[in-house]
Amino acid sequence: MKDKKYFLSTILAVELGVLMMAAVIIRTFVPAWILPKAEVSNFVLVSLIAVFINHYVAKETKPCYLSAAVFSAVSFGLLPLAAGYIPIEQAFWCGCTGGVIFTLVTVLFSSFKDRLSTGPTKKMAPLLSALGIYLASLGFMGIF
Amino acid sequence: MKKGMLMPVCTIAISAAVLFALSFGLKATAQKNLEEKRLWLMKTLLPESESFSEEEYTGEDTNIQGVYKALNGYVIETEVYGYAGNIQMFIGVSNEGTVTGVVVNDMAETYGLGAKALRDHKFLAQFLNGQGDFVIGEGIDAITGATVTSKAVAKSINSAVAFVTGADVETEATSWGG
Repeated sequence: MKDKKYFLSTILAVELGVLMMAAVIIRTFVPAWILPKAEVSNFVLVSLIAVFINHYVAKETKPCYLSAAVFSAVSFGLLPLAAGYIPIEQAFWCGCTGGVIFTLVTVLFSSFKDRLSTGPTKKMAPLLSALGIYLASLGFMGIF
Repeated sequence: MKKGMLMPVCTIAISAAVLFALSFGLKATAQKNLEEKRLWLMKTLLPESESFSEEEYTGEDTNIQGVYKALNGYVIETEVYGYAGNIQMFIGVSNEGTVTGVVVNDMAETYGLGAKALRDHKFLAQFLNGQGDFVIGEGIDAITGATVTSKAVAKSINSAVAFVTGADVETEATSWGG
């Protein structure tokens, strides 16, 4: 398919949709569970899962960064709001933060993966890139 | 709009519609289950209690978010900022000011460190049967690597006991640091 560059945004929307659906079901039937908060490190994790899956689905096709930023902002703002996971006043913050983080993660993942994709450990490059970015985000969050 | 963009647009729109319908449809069930869970939790925190009535809190202690009265004591809902976010707790306190039960209901503390406050029974059990004035490092051991979270928990419990006993909330008993 020639429009694989938009796959990333679709994957993110599906992933967030599934996660939010699970959250609604858990919140309804297992109210004692403490669900993860809408915060930076979780946005990074969700973004990394999407770019990781996209790496295998879209192969070498570079995503369209502008559309990824816009669609991810809409996804991060709208889907948790629709699920009642965040209040309406938090939706704008979630959308903007999610959009920025997703775009950053997409660029960083692509860059790290390309650098690591040499030698015998080439196949591990996507996994190592994702792991490195997630650990870096946790370290970054620890500063605040 | 490019044809390829239709796929993410449709996916987002359909996901949002499905989520909204699901959330709206399950709202009443979620509320009912939440109330049942809360009542079960409060009965566990304050043994031998039957029913609770919510009382309006008019005091100055900002840690206290809710007061539920039973015949033999109170369950106090508190919210204190920990290391990474607010820690919401329910604390059972008898009419004599003795802590009968403690549970962390919601938090966003660091996984593997502060989040241990949820299930670290050894840490939480230190507060049981106490009468407030808990100070981390003075008879109460902190969770390893999570001193700030531990202090926030102690602060919440001190506030709850102070409410029941009528102690001054501005004393050392409830000031930051447990």
